[in-house]
Amino acid sequence: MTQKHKEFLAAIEPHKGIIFKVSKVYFDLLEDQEDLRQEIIYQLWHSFHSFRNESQFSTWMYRIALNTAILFFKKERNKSEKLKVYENESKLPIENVDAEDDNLKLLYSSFQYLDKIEKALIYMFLEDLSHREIASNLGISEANARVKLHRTKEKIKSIIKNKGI
Amino acid sequence: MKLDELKEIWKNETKYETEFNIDIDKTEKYKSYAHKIRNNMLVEFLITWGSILFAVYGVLSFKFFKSYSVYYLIFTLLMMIIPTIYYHLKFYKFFNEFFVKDTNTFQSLIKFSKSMTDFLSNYRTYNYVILILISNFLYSIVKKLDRLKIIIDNKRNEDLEYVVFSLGIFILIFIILEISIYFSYKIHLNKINQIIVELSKDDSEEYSKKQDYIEKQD
Repeated sequence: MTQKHKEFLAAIEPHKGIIFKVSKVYFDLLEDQEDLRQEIIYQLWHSFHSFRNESQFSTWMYRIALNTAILFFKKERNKSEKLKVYENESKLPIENVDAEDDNLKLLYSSFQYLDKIEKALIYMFLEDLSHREIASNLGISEANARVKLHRTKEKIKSIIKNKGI
Repeated sequence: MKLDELKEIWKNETKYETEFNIDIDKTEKYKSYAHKIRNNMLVEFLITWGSILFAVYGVLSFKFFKSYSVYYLIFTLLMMIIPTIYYHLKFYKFFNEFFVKDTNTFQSLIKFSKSMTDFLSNYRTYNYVILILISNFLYSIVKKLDRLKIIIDNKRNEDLEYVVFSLGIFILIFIILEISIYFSYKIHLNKINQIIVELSKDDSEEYSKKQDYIEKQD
């Protein structure tokens, strides 16, 4: 292992929760989450040389991780696999979600009804990022970020409510 | 349960600390639109150079055909060198360019989309040039074939026709593959463009009007 590798691993170790949580927000199946984690790590490693200390390392990681997740495509599954995953559409598939708390399982499973941009927005909201930071990470105006986030929050509340949990 | 309460639970999640290990050696398998495009580029590269080598081998393997075809073949290859080098330099530059840099999502997507659009334009132009050159090569061979019919026996005529027919089929397959790759590029570019449209859709004005209306009602 080279010195650069060691530096990279040491830098991302304290923030690896970002990679873990982004992958869980974007996918409910463990296999897909693992694939996304690998892709994020690959992208982080690939872009590591471009990191300048102008921004915080965690901010840089947020951006790379979310960009990667937005551009990531899920492995196509056949019909029987899909049925296995979503046997009962009227309920959120929380049994597939790997989390410590039932409410957290509910939250993660409800994310699967959001589109890629909405997932990024709700993730940043949960991470307590301000509207300005969300706008800056996505590259949109602050007003636009506020509106989009408001709508996403309404949508997720509605999903949770409608699914009877 | 309110979202703010869920936020607290979310913050306290520590499961990953025991489960998730970062292994840099496991990062060879990846899937994203950009990597799909990169894989397509590798396939395209292999098809292009594989086709050229196969065509050269196919023509040269017929020795009786050699004296007439070699002239055209060398001429065609020389004509192909300039656009091929130019295209592959662009190809290499794009291939090495990464879509994720330390910029925001919108900027990196716009940048990637623009590079991809330029690349597709180069790809189309390059393929037109190559197809014109290959067609010219085939046409020259066919014209030569007509002249040869007078001086060579029937068996050899059949062989020559077979070569031209094989080359024709080969070019047809080549065109189909190149078109498939082009549409594959297009599909992935469109998906990226959809995300850009979704991000750039500014509905803040509409939202402000709605908020003003609600305030007035109150």
